[in-house]
Amino acid sequence: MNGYIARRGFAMVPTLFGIVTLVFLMIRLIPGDPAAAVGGEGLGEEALAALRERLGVNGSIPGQYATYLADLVRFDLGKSIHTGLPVTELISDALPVTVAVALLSVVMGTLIAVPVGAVAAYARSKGKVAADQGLTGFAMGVDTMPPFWVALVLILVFSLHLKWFPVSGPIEWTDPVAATKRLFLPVVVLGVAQVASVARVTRTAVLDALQDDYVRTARALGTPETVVLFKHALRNSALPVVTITGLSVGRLLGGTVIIENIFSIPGMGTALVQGINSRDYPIVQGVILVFALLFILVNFATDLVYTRVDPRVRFG
Amino acid sequence: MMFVRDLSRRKFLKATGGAGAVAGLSAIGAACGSDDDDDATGTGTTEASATRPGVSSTQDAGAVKLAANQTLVVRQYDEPGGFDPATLFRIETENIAFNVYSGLTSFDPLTGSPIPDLAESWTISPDGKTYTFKLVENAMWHQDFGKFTSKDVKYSYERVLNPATNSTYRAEFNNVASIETPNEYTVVINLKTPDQNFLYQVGNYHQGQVVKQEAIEKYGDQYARNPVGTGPFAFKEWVANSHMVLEGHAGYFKGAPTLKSIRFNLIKDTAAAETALSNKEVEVAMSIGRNTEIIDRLAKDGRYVLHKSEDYANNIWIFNPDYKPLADPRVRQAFGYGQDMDGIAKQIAPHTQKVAHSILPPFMPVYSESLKYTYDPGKAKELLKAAGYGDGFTVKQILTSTTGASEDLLIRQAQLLDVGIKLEFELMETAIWNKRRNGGDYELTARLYPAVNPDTLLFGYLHPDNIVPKGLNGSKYNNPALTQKLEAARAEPDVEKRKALYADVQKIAHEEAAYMPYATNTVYWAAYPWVKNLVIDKLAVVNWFPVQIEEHA
Repeated sequence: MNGYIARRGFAMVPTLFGIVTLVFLMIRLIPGDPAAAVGGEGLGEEALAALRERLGVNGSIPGQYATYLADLVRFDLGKSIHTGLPVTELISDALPVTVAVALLSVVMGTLIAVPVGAVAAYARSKGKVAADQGLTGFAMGVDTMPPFWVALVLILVFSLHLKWFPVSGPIEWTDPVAATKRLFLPVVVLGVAQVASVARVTRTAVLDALQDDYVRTARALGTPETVVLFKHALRNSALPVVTITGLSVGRLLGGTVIIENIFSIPGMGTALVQGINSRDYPIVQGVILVFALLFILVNFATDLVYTRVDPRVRFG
Repeated sequence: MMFVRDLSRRKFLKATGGAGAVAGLSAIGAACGSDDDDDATGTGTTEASATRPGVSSTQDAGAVKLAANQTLVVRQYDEPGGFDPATLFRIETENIAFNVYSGLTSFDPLTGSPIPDLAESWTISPDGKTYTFKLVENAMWHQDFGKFTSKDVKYSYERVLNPATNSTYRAEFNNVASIETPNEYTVVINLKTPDQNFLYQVGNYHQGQVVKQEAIEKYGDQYARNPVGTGPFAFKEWVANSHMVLEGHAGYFKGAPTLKSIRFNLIKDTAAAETALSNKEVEVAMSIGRNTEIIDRLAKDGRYVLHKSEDYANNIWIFNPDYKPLADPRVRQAFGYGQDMDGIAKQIAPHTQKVAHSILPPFMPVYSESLKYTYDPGKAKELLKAAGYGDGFTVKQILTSTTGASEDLLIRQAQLLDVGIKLEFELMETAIWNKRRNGGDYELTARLYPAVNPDTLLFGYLHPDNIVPKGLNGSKYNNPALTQKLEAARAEPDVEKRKALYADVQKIAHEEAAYMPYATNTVYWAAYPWVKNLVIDKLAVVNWFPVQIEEHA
């Protein structure tokens, strides 16, 4: 196992280099002078030169790349052009918020999707087609609702009319109740967005499992149906569910960009939009880099989880 | 029931006891404005009655029964870029900076005229070239940076002038020859040429805001996130993309503000902002009414007071004469006669637009209407024909993709097409749009530029020294007769003569259609009625010093 982790970790290095290089090239591929594109307000030559230096776009490209890598090794992602704030500081403030929202969304989405998929499969296996179609239809229906629309509906119902949850204000971790109320609606929006794909995969996997011999054996031994479904069939269907959940994290990171803006959450998505709108490339570069790293790490973690959920999986 | 507070100047002055009046102040002019095409400025609305500048008498007399909790939560609609006066811009930033810093002067919220701030009085030499400011002696810096003195003024303004600072507003002080500090509480500023509007340039706005050298040096490149001023509120906290907190400055030289603190919560989405206001998560929603639907909805909701900022600036079309058809004044005039500006304003944006008849907004004392372009498609066609474009021509306007082509602009496009002007739109990212506008790279573009100083607009738009890319003169207008009048107006000490000169300037510019003003702009803020003394000034900035929270259920 440790050997696998080491090999997988080593295999990530080229991927990381690829990402770092793409992010590095992002700003250099702007037509013309990147500093002029960023400055945008008719800066004089002196100011442009200063901005080029600040952006790290002065000197030769290989030289710039070497400096960029050296800075990265020191976790120096540069400073925001508009605020002068170190990007690492900005990200260290925003990342916990986004990670919290993302993780809670995954948990919520999985808690809804897996039972829905499992019960739909069970209904199908028992010939209750209507129940299966109803649950599958529910999942499909949820899938057709764009997250931004769900967000606005939830705001309308739970915030504007019922006044249960706030839609603004800072997130104070020192006040867990307030923080939970503040994050509840965005977590629901992002969680619901994952329900359809996870439920569908769960349904298919459980349906296959329910036709396996060990299920027939368990039933023959008089095992209760709930145990058959949730212990035997579902457990043996976990591999594809874990895979789809891991993959959905990538989609979810994209979703935070919209949802964080709607709910005024100071996370990575908000920082990214702010960076793009103000053409603050160090912020854009930093956030994209961290998003990409997160995605790689989640996939890596998903691979490791395989060994926990299915003992047959062995990494040589 | 709709509460739109729109106080008349007479009523305001009666209420304020003439607090804003400054003896000997005859300036008609000048304070810079930040180009702000998305946002708002405006005239105010208030119930304030003051016995000293910015302080309501009700505050002194206790007429308002104050709430025990004087912490105000305000919706901020966009993330500020930083608070260094040398470089700060945009209204969301200026609203914070105005309350953290002070200038030698400040601005009357209703007229925009300069009033005392850190300078309690001043004298202007007969030749209009020397300004001597007598400073207050009890101003203290935030964060224990000590007493404010004349040295701070000299440092601040010379810092703006220093090329190393890269100040966006360096040109505002181009006319400054030297700054002297004969003692701790006197500043003498010598100008190269007479400027009757100089008081605006040392106001509590951008380059006029006074900073502390030790604070600048202490915070270095993080200063913009840690501003230190002498204003009524000290900057306490800024969590990026979340919120900012200002704290009442007990040592403020006009007295401690009633509000203990102000929290600005960032809520970009308008729907979320309306919900936050409804839930009382915020008590004031900055710049919330941007279209008729929202304004109508808020107006029908009897819980709020709508504060409006009316006709604070004009939308103008800018013609690049390098594009041949636009070099002919008759073609430019056809833009005025070829669209129903009045009808569009009334039908499409009745709450936020009126027809504009000058480069200057109507609140300025020197505003004048010499010519009104009324809808006359026949005349527009005749003008085009006389100019040699009887078969029409095509012109491209550059726009930001952030807003795209607004509904009113699409109607203007359709009406102009009827007379033979085929208006096309080229959309681009805002930064590129700004770069192209500032660089003169367009056939047709537009601007909305808030200012309280007529010189900011007239010199900016019409003086040949400011032809793009050096300045705002995007139509590359250069009329020696008009230039002479502009320069004479700036130097003219007699108010009436100056007004007459400015009227001539506006008349010439409008008749020649150097630019085509087509609509004024108004913006709305919503607040609960217990937030007292809220006044939005001519630059869309609120002075939070006199604001109080009344006891409420």
